[in-house]
Amino acid sequence: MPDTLVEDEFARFAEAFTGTFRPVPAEAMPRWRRTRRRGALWLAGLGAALVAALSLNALQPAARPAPAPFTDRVVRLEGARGEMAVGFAGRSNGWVTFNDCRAGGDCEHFLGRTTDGGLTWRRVALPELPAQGRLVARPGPASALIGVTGSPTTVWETNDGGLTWRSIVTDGTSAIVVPPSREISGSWKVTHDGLESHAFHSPDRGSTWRGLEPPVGAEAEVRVSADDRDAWAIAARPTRAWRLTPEGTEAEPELPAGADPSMISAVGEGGLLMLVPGRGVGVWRGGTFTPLPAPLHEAALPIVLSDGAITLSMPDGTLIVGGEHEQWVRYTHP
Amino acid sequence: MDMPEPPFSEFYGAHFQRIAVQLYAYLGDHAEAQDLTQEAFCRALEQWPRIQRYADPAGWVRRVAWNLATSRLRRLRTAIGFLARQREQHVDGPTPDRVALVAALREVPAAQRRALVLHHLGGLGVAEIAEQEGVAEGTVRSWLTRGRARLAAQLTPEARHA
Repeated sequence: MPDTLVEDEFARFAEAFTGTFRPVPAEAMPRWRRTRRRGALWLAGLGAALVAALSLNALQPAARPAPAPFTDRVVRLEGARGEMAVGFAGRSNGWVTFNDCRAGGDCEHFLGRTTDGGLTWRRVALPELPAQGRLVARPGPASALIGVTGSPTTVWETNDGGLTWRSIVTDGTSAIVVPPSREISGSWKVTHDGLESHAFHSPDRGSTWRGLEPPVGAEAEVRVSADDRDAWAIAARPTRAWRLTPEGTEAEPELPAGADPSMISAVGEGGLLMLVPGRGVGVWRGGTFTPLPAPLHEAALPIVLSDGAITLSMPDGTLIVGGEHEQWVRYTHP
Repeated sequence: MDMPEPPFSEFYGAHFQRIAVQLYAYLGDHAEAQDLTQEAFCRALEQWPRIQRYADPAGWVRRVAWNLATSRLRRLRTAIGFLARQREQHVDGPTPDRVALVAALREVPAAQRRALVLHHLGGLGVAEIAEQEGVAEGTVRSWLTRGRARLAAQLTPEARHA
Protein backbone atom coordinates (compact mmCIF):
# COMPACT_ATOMS: atom_id res chain seq x y z
CA MET A 1 0.00 0.00 0.00
CA PRO A 2 2.69 2.56 0.87
CA ASP A 3 4.53 1.62 -2.33
CA THR A 4 1.44 2.31 -4.46
CA LEU A 5 0.70 5.55 -2.69
CA VAL A 6 4.26 6.76 -3.09
CA GLU A 7 4.45 5.65 -6.71
CA ASP A 8 1.21 7.45 -7.55
CA GLU A 9 2.30 10.59 -5.76
CA PHE A 10 5.58 10.75 -7.66
CA ALA A 11 3.77 10.13 -10.95
CA ARG A 12 1.37 12.99 -10.28
CA PHE A 13 4.24 15.21 -9.29
CA ALA A 14 6.18 14.47 -12.48
CA GLU A 15 3.10 15.10 -14.58
CA ALA A 16 2.36 18.36 -12.81
CA PHE A 17 5.82 19.86 -13.07
CA THR A 18 7.30 18.50 -16.29
CA GLY A 19 7.19 21.47 -18.63
CA THR A 20 7.13 24.12 -15.92
CA PHE A 21 10.87 24.81 -16.13
CA ARG A 22 12.24 27.33 -18.57
CA PRO A 23 15.62 26.25 -19.88
CA VAL A 24 17.75 28.98 -21.40
CA PRO A 25 17.94 28.52 -25.20
CA ALA A 26 21.02 26.51 -26.08
CA GLU A 27 22.54 29.36 -28.06
CA ALA A 28 22.22 31.66 -25.02
CA MET A 29 23.81 29.27 -22.54
CA PRO A 30 27.36 30.68 -22.79
CA ARG A 31 26.06 34.16 -22.02
CA TRP A 32 23.88 32.83 -19.18
CA ARG A 33 26.92 31.19 -17.63
CA ARG A 34 29.09 34.28 -17.91
CA THR A 35 26.40 36.46 -16.42
CA ARG A 36 25.71 34.01 -13.66
CA ARG A 37 29.36 33.83 -12.70
CA ARG A 38 29.77 37.59 -12.75
CA GLY A 39 26.70 38.08 -10.64
CA ALA A 40 27.52 35.30 -8.28
CA LEU A 41 29.57 36.96 -5.60
CA TRP A 42 27.30 39.79 -4.71
CA LEU A 43 24.79 37.50 -3.10
CA ALA A 44 27.09 34.68 -2.22
CA GLY A 45 28.35 36.41 0.86
CA LEU A 46 24.87 37.06 2.10
CA GLY A 47 23.62 33.54 1.44
CA ALA A 48 26.61 31.71 2.74
CA ALA A 49 26.85 33.94 5.76
CA LEU A 50 23.27 33.25 6.66
CA VAL A 51 23.66 29.55 6.27
CA ALA A 52 26.86 29.22 8.13
CA ALA A 53 25.73 31.61 10.81
CA LEU A 54 22.52 29.85 11.49
CA SER A 55 23.89 26.35 11.16
CA LEU A 56 26.81 27.12 13.39
CA ASN A 57 24.47 28.69 15.89
CA ALA A 58 22.40 25.56 15.87
CA LEU A 59 25.44 23.46 16.50
CA GLN A 60 26.82 25.71 19.19
CA PRO A 61 23.88 27.17 21.05
CA ALA A 62 25.83 27.79 24.21
CA ALA A 63 28.52 30.18 23.03
CA ARG A 64 30.31 31.52 26.05
CA PRO A 65 31.62 35.04 26.50
CA ALA A 66 35.36 35.42 26.03
CA PRO A 67 37.85 38.27 25.91
CA ALA A 68 37.57 39.90 22.51
CA PRO A 69 40.69 39.35 20.39
CA PHE A 70 39.72 42.30 18.18
CA THR A 71 39.25 46.04 18.32
CA ASP A 72 36.08 47.81 17.26
CA ARG A 73 35.99 50.36 14.46
CA VAL A 74 32.74 52.25 13.91
CA VAL A 75 31.62 52.77 10.31
CA ARG A 76 30.61 56.42 10.03
CA LEU A 77 29.04 57.31 6.68
CA GLU A 78 27.50 60.74 6.46
CA GLY A 79 23.73 60.72 6.19
CA ALA A 80 23.44 56.94 6.01
CA ARG A 81 21.00 54.98 8.12
CA GLY A 82 19.44 51.57 8.32
CA GLU A 83 20.80 48.05 8.25
CA MET A 84 24.54 47.99 7.53
CA ALA A 85 26.64 45.48 5.63
CA VAL A 86 30.41 45.82 5.19
CA GLY A 87 32.60 44.06 2.67
CA PHE A 88 36.33 44.31 2.05
CA ALA A 89 38.42 43.52 -1.02
CA GLY A 90 41.66 43.81 0.92
CA ARG A 91 43.02 45.18 4.16
CA SER A 92 42.45 48.78 3.01
CA ASN A 93 39.69 48.77 0.44
CA GLY A 94 36.14 48.22 1.54
CA TRP A 95 32.54 49.04 0.76
CA VAL A 96 29.53 49.51 2.98
CA THR A 97 25.82 49.43 2.22
CA PHE A 98 23.02 50.75 4.37
CA ASN A 99 19.44 49.66 3.73
CA ASP A 100 16.66 51.64 5.29
CA CYS A 101 13.55 49.64 4.48
CA ARG A 102 10.04 50.29 5.69
CA ALA A 103 6.86 48.26 5.66
CA GLY A 104 5.66 47.63 2.14
CA GLY A 105 9.13 47.16 0.73
CA ASP A 106 9.97 50.85 0.31
CA CYS A 107 13.74 51.12 0.79
CA GLU A 108 16.35 53.83 0.76
CA HIS A 109 19.88 52.75 -0.04
CA PHE A 110 23.26 54.23 0.82
CA LEU A 111 26.66 53.18 -0.44
CA GLY A 112 30.10 54.16 0.83
CA ARG A 113 33.70 53.09 0.50
CA THR A 114 36.97 53.26 2.38
CA THR A 115 40.55 53.12 1.19
CA ASP A 116 42.19 53.28 4.61
CA GLY A 117 40.96 50.15 6.29
CA GLY A 118 37.76 51.73 7.57
CA LEU A 119 39.26 54.67 9.42
CA THR A 120 37.28 56.99 7.14
CA TRP A 121 34.32 56.38 4.82
CA ARG A 122 32.87 58.52 2.05
CA ARG A 123 29.52 58.42 0.31
CA VAL A 124 29.33 57.06 -3.22
CA ALA A 125 26.47 58.18 -5.45
CA LEU A 126 24.24 55.34 -6.50
CA PRO A 127 22.65 54.75 -9.88
CA GLU A 128 18.88 54.71 -9.96
CA LEU A 129 17.76 51.57 -8.20
CA PRO A 130 14.37 50.00 -7.78
CA ALA A 131 13.12 50.89 -4.33
CA GLN A 132 12.63 47.32 -3.27
CA GLY A 133 14.73 44.66 -1.68
CA ARG A 134 18.06 44.80 0.04
CA LEU A 135 21.15 46.34 -1.48
CA VAL A 136 24.11 44.00 -1.58
CA ALA A 137 27.56 44.69 -2.97
CA ARG A 138 30.50 42.66 -4.14
CA PRO A 139 33.59 44.54 -3.12
CA GLY A 140 36.64 45.13 -5.25
CA PRO A 141 39.56 47.53 -4.73
CA ALA A 142 38.10 50.17 -7.03
CA SER A 143 35.04 48.34 -8.16
CA ALA A 144 31.72 47.24 -6.87
CA LEU A 145 28.98 45.15 -8.31
CA ILE A 146 25.69 45.95 -6.66
CA GLY A 147 22.22 44.60 -6.93
CA VAL A 148 18.98 44.44 -5.04
CA THR A 149 17.59 41.20 -3.71
CA GLY A 150 14.22 40.48 -5.19
CA SER A 151 15.15 42.04 -8.50
CA PRO A 152 17.91 39.93 -9.97
CA THR A 153 17.65 41.58 -13.36
CA THR A 154 19.04 44.82 -11.94
CA VAL A 155 22.77 44.70 -11.38
CA TRP A 156 25.08 47.69 -11.60
CA GLU A 157 28.84 47.78 -11.81
CA THR A 158 31.43 50.46 -11.23
CA ASN A 159 35.12 50.13 -11.91
CA ASP A 160 36.18 53.62 -10.90
CA GLY A 161 35.16 53.80 -7.28
CA GLY A 162 31.59 54.82 -8.02
CA LEU A 163 32.18 57.74 -10.41
CA THR A 164 30.40 55.95 -13.22
CA TRP A 165 28.11 52.95 -13.31
CA ARG A 166 26.88 50.62 -15.98
CA SER A 167 24.03 48.17 -15.83
CA ILE A 168 24.54 44.52 -16.51
CA VAL A 169 21.67 42.71 -18.11
CA THR A 170 21.03 39.33 -16.57
CA ASP A 171 18.70 36.60 -17.60
CA GLY A 172 16.44 36.99 -14.62
CA THR A 173 17.53 33.71 -13.18
CA SER A 174 17.49 32.77 -9.55
CA ALA A 175 18.74 35.32 -7.10
CA ILE A 176 20.37 32.64 -5.00
CA VAL A 177 23.89 32.13 -6.23
CA VAL A 178 27.14 30.59 -5.13
CA PRO A 179 30.74 31.69 -5.56
CA PRO A 180 32.00 30.84 -9.03
CA SER A 181 34.20 27.83 -9.42
CA ARG A 182 37.86 28.83 -9.52
CA GLU A 183 38.96 26.19 -11.97
CA ILE A 184 41.78 28.35 -13.24
CA SER A 185 44.01 30.30 -10.94
CA GLY A 186 47.09 31.69 -12.62
CA SER A 187 49.47 28.80 -12.98
CA TRP A 188 47.10 26.07 -11.81
CA LYS A 189 43.86 24.59 -12.95
CA VAL A 190 41.78 21.46 -12.54
CA THR A 191 39.31 19.81 -14.85
CA HIS A 192 36.50 17.54 -13.75
CA ASP A 193 36.04 14.06 -15.08
CA GLY A 194 33.35 12.12 -13.27
CA LEU A 195 34.60 10.75 -10.00
CA GLU A 196 38.04 12.33 -10.31
CA SER A 197 39.66 15.59 -11.32
CA HIS A 198 42.89 16.32 -13.14
CA ALA A 199 45.28 19.05 -12.02
CA PHE A 200 47.51 21.03 -14.38
CA HIS A 201 50.41 23.42 -13.95
CA SER A 202 51.49 26.14 -16.34
CA PRO A 203 55.08 27.39 -16.14
CA ASP A 204 54.25 30.32 -18.44
CA ARG A 205 51.06 31.73 -16.93
CA GLY A 206 48.65 29.82 -19.04
CA SER A 207 50.31 29.47 -22.43
CA THR A 208 51.08 25.81 -21.97
CA TRP A 209 49.81 23.30 -19.43
CA ARG A 210 51.27 20.12 -18.03
CA GLY A 211 49.10 17.46 -16.42
CA LEU A 212 49.94 16.46 -12.85
CA GLU A 213 49.74 12.93 -11.51
CA PRO A 214 48.04 11.28 -9.78
CA PRO A 215 44.46 12.50 -10.35
CA VAL A 216 42.69 14.16 -7.45
CA GLY A 217 39.15 13.76 -6.13
CA ALA A 218 35.77 14.61 -7.65
CA GLU A 219 34.68 18.19 -8.28
CA ALA A 220 38.04 19.58 -7.16
CA GLU A 221 38.80 23.30 -7.20
CA VAL A 222 42.09 25.15 -7.02
CA ARG A 223 43.02 27.25 -4.01
CA VAL A 224 46.17 29.37 -4.10
CA SER A 225 47.55 31.36 -1.18
CA ALA A 226 47.89 35.12 -1.54
CA ASP A 227 51.69 34.85 -1.67
CA ASP A 228 51.41 32.26 -4.49
CA ARG A 229 53.54 29.83 -2.51
CA ASP A 230 50.85 27.27 -1.74
CA ALA A 231 48.57 25.69 -4.31
CA TRP A 232 45.93 23.14 -3.43
CA ALA A 233 43.24 21.09 -5.07
CA ILE A 234 40.23 20.73 -2.80
CA ALA A 235 37.87 17.92 -3.76
CA ALA A 236 34.23 18.02 -2.83
CA ARG A 237 33.04 14.44 -2.63
CA PRO A 238 34.47 13.48 -0.24
CA THR A 239 36.23 16.59 1.02
CA ARG A 240 39.95 16.02 0.56
CA ALA A 241 43.00 18.17 -0.07
CA TRP A 242 45.95 17.65 -2.41
CA ARG A 243 49.01 19.87 -2.42
CA LEU A 244 49.98 20.90 -5.94
CA THR A 245 53.56 21.31 -7.08
CA PRO A 246 54.95 21.55 -10.61
CA GLU A 247 56.08 17.94 -10.16
CA GLY A 248 52.72 16.47 -9.24
CA THR A 249 49.94 16.16 -6.68
CA GLU A 250 50.31 14.93 -3.13
CA ALA A 251 47.37 13.84 -1.00
CA GLU A 252 47.22 15.47 2.41
CA PRO A 253 45.95 13.80 5.60
CA GLU A 254 42.20 13.61 6.01
CA LEU A 255 40.52 16.93 6.65
CA PRO A 256 38.23 17.37 9.66
CA ALA A 257 34.90 15.61 9.16
CA GLY A 258 32.21 17.80 7.68
CA ALA A 259 34.51 20.55 6.41
CA ASP A 260 32.66 22.36 3.65
CA PRO A 261 34.90 22.40 0.56
CA SER A 262 33.36 25.65 -0.64
CA MET A 263 34.61 27.39 2.48
CA ILE A 264 38.21 26.22 2.38
CA SER A 265 40.84 28.81 1.49
CA ALA A 266 44.64 28.76 1.32
CA VAL A 267 45.91 30.95 4.12
CA GLY A 268 49.64 30.57 3.49
CA GLU A 269 52.45 28.75 5.30
CA GLY A 270 50.86 25.43 4.41
CA GLY A 271 47.58 26.28 6.08
CA LEU A 272 43.97 26.00 4.99
CA LEU A 273 41.29 28.17 6.53
CA MET A 274 38.07 26.24 6.89
CA LEU A 275 34.75 26.01 8.66
CA VAL A 276 34.18 22.75 10.50
CA PRO A 277 30.70 21.99 11.85
CA GLY A 278 30.79 21.83 15.62
CA ARG A 279 34.31 23.27 15.83
CA GLY A 280 33.94 26.50 13.94
CA VAL A 281 36.44 28.38 11.82
CA GLY A 282 40.08 27.53 12.13
CA VAL A 283 43.29 26.73 10.34
CA TRP A 284 44.24 23.20 9.32
CA ARG A 285 47.96 22.73 8.96
CA GLY A 286 49.92 19.52 8.69
CA GLY A 287 46.94 17.39 9.66
CA THR A 288 45.99 19.42 12.73
CA PHE A 289 42.97 21.70 12.96
CA THR A 290 43.27 24.70 15.29
CA PRO A 291 40.16 26.85 15.80
CA LEU A 292 40.59 30.61 15.75
CA PRO A 293 40.45 32.23 19.20
CA ALA A 294 36.95 32.76 20.58
CA PRO A 295 34.75 34.30 19.39
CA LEU A 296 36.42 34.48 15.97
CA HIS A 297 35.88 30.75 15.51
CA GLU A 298 32.12 31.40 15.51
CA ALA A 299 32.41 33.24 12.20
CA ALA A 300 29.86 32.25 9.63
CA LEU A 301 31.76 32.92 6.45
CA PRO A 302 35.58 32.92 6.41
CA ILE A 303 37.19 34.38 3.30
CA VAL A 304 40.84 34.93 2.43
CA LEU A 305 41.21 38.08 0.32
CA SER A 306 43.63 38.56 -2.54
CA ASP A 307 46.16 40.30 -0.29
CA GLY A 308 45.98 37.55 2.32
CA ALA A 309 43.72 39.34 4.79
CA ILE A 310 40.95 37.25 6.30
CA THR A 311 37.38 38.46 6.60
CA LEU A 312 35.03 36.81 9.06
CA SER A 313 31.29 37.37 8.83
CA MET A 314 30.03 37.00 12.35
CA PRO A 315 26.64 35.62 13.41
CA ASP A 316 25.59 39.04 14.70
CA GLY A 317 26.04 40.52 11.22
CA THR A 318 29.31 42.32 11.88
CA LEU A 319 32.46 41.83 9.87
CA ILE A 320 35.91 41.22 11.33
CA VAL A 321 39.03 41.68 9.19
CA GLY A 322 42.55 40.64 10.12
CA GLY A 323 44.88 37.68 9.86
CA GLU A 324 46.45 34.79 11.70
CA HIS A 325 49.36 36.89 12.85
CA GLU A 326 47.73 40.30 12.59
CA GLN A 327 45.39 42.54 14.51
CA TRP A 328 41.68 41.80 14.03
CA VAL A 329 39.27 44.72 13.53
CA ARG A 330 35.52 44.47 13.93
CA TYR A 331 33.42 46.96 11.92
CA THR A 332 30.36 48.07 13.81
CA HIS A 333 27.24 50.11 13.22
CA PRO A 334 27.34 53.75 14.40
CA MET B 1 32.64 28.16 -25.39
CA ASP B 2 31.76 27.07 -28.91
CA MET B 3 28.22 26.89 -30.18
CA PRO B 4 26.63 23.51 -29.68
CA GLU B 5 26.40 20.89 -32.37
CA PRO B 6 22.85 19.85 -33.24
CA PRO B 7 22.96 16.71 -31.06
CA PHE B 8 23.45 18.84 -27.96
CA SER B 9 20.28 20.79 -28.58
CA GLU B 10 18.34 17.58 -28.96
CA PHE B 11 19.91 16.10 -25.88
CA TYR B 12 19.28 19.30 -23.95
CA GLY B 13 15.64 19.45 -24.93
CA ALA B 14 15.07 15.80 -24.19
CA HIS B 15 16.47 15.71 -20.67
CA PHE B 16 16.22 19.15 -19.08
CA GLN B 17 12.71 18.88 -17.68
CA ARG B 18 13.21 15.40 -16.30
CA ILE B 19 16.32 16.32 -14.35
CA ALA B 20 14.86 19.63 -13.17
CA VAL B 21 11.78 17.85 -11.82
CA GLN B 22 14.03 15.50 -9.84
CA LEU B 23 15.94 18.37 -8.31
CA TYR B 24 12.73 20.20 -7.49
CA ALA B 25 11.46 17.19 -5.58
CA TYR B 26 14.76 16.93 -3.74
CA LEU B 27 15.35 20.62 -3.01
CA GLY B 28 11.76 21.80 -2.71
CA ASP B 29 12.64 24.98 -4.59
CA HIS B 30 11.53 25.38 -8.20
CA ALA B 31 13.90 28.24 -9.08
CA GLU B 32 16.86 26.48 -7.50
CA ALA B 33 16.09 23.31 -9.40
CA GLN B 34 16.00 25.22 -12.68
CA ASP B 35 19.21 27.09 -11.88
CA LEU B 36 21.20 24.00 -10.95
CA THR B 37 19.92 22.01 -13.88
CA GLN B 38 20.91 24.87 -16.15
CA GLU B 39 24.39 24.92 -14.64
CA ALA B 40 24.77 21.17 -15.13
CA PHE B 41 23.83 21.43 -18.79
CA CYS B 42 26.22 24.38 -19.24
CA ARG B 43 29.02 22.18 -17.96
CA ALA B 44 27.94 19.48 -20.37
CA LEU B 45 27.98 21.95 -23.23
CA GLU B 46 31.53 23.01 -22.37
CA GLN B 47 32.70 19.42 -22.67
CA TRP B 48 30.17 18.16 -25.16
CA PRO B 49 32.60 16.68 -27.71
CA ARG B 50 33.84 14.33 -24.98
CA ILE B 51 30.60 13.77 -23.08
CA GLN B 52 28.56 12.91 -26.16
CA ARG B 53 30.77 9.87 -26.59
CA TYR B 54 29.82 8.55 -23.14
CA ALA B 55 27.45 5.63 -22.94
CA ASP B 56 25.05 7.70 -20.85
CA PRO B 57 25.54 11.46 -21.30
CA ALA B 58 22.28 12.12 -19.45
CA GLY B 59 23.63 10.18 -16.50
CA TRP B 60 26.68 12.45 -16.46
CA VAL B 61 24.52 15.57 -16.39
CA ARG B 62 22.24 14.05 -13.77
CA ARG B 63 25.20 13.27 -11.57
CA VAL B 64 26.63 16.78 -11.92
CA ALA B 65 23.22 18.30 -11.19
CA TRP B 66 22.78 16.15 -8.11
CA ASN B 67 26.27 16.97 -6.88
CA LEU B 68 25.46 20.65 -7.26
CA ALA B 69 22.15 20.17 -5.48
CA THR B 70 23.67 18.27 -2.60
CA SER B 71 26.39 20.85 -2.20
CA ARG B 72 23.94 23.71 -2.52
CA LEU B 73 21.53 22.21 -0.05
CA ARG B 74 24.27 21.73 2.48
CA ARG B 75 25.47 25.30 2.09
CA LEU B 76 22.22 27.12 1.72
CA ARG B 77 19.83 24.98 3.68
CA THR B 78 18.80 27.91 5.77
CA ALA B 79 19.37 30.76 3.37
CA ILE B 80 17.15 29.25 0.72
CA GLY B 81 14.08 29.85 2.79
CA PHE B 82 15.22 33.27 3.85
CA LEU B 83 16.07 34.56 0.41
CA ALA B 84 13.17 32.89 -1.31
CA ARG B 85 10.88 35.08 0.72
CA GLN B 86 12.62 38.18 -0.62
CA ARG B 87 12.87 37.53 -4.32
CA GLU B 88 10.40 37.81 -7.12
CA GLN B 89 8.61 34.73 -8.31
CA HIS B 90 9.24 33.86 -11.93
CA VAL B 91 6.69 31.10 -12.24
CA ASP B 92 3.18 30.63 -11.01
CA GLY B 93 3.11 29.27 -7.52
CA PRO B 94 2.31 25.60 -7.30
CA THR B 95 -0.97 24.64 -5.80
CA PRO B 96 -1.07 23.04 -2.33
CA ASP B 97 -1.90 19.66 -3.84
CA ARG B 98 1.09 19.76 -6.10
CA VAL B 99 3.54 20.64 -3.36
CA ALA B 100 2.23 17.98 -0.99
CA LEU B 101 5.00 15.69 -2.13
CA VAL B 102 7.62 18.40 -1.67
CA ALA B 103 6.37 19.07 1.84
CA ALA B 104 6.28 15.38 2.66
CA LEU B 105 9.75 14.80 1.28
CA ARG B 106 11.12 17.50 3.55
CA GLU B 107 10.33 15.20 6.46
CA VAL B 108 12.42 12.40 4.96
CA PRO B 109 16.17 12.26 5.72
CA ALA B 110 18.29 13.54 2.86
CA ALA B 111 19.85 10.21 1.85
CA GLN B 112 16.46 8.47 1.79
CA ARG B 113 15.00 11.43 -0.09
CA ARG B 114 17.73 11.24 -2.74
CA ALA B 115 17.15 7.53 -3.17
CA LEU B 116 13.39 7.96 -3.48
CA VAL B 117 13.63 10.74 -6.04
CA LEU B 118 16.29 9.00 -8.10
CA HIS B 119 14.24 5.80 -8.12
CA HIS B 120 10.74 7.15 -8.65
CA LEU B 121 11.45 10.23 -10.76
CA GLY B 122 14.83 9.40 -12.25
CA GLY B 123 13.95 5.82 -13.00
CA LEU B 124 17.22 4.53 -11.57
CA GLY B 125 17.59 1.03 -10.23
CA VAL B 126 19.11 0.10 -6.91
CA ALA B 127 22.50 -0.62 -8.45
CA GLU B 128 22.60 2.70 -10.31
CA ILE B 129 21.69 4.66 -7.18
CA ALA B 130 24.31 2.78 -5.20
CA GLU B 131 26.90 3.65 -7.82
CA GLN B 132 25.94 7.32 -7.86
CA GLU B 133 25.85 7.63 -4.09
CA GLY B 134 28.93 5.54 -3.50
CA VAL B 135 27.24 3.10 -1.11
CA ALA B 136 26.32 -0.58 -1.06
CA GLU B 137 23.17 -1.77 -2.80
CA GLY B 138 21.83 -3.01 0.52
CA THR B 139 22.09 0.48 1.88
CA VAL B 140 20.05 1.82 -1.01
CA ARG B 141 17.39 -0.85 -0.50
CA SER B 142 17.21 0.14 3.15
CA TRP B 143 16.92 3.82 2.23
CA LEU B 144 14.11 3.08 -0.18
CA THR B 145 12.17 0.92 2.26
CA ARG B 146 12.47 3.31 5.15
CA GLY B 147 11.98 6.34 2.93
CA ARG B 148 8.80 4.96 1.39
CA ALA B 149 7.35 4.18 4.79
CA ARG B 150 8.16 7.60 6.12
CA LEU B 151 6.91 9.34 3.00
CA ALA B 152 3.70 7.35 2.94
CA ALA B 153 3.05 8.31 6.55
CA GLN B 154 3.45 11.95 5.58
CA LEU B 155 1.09 11.59 2.65
CA THR B 156 -1.87 10.27 4.58
CA PRO B 157 -4.86 12.63 4.77
CA GLU B 158 -4.32 12.93 8.52
CA ALA B 159 -0.71 13.99 8.09
CA ARG B 160 -1.58 16.46 5.33
CA HIS B 161 -4.07 18.22 7.56
CA ALA B 162 -1.98 18.03 10.71
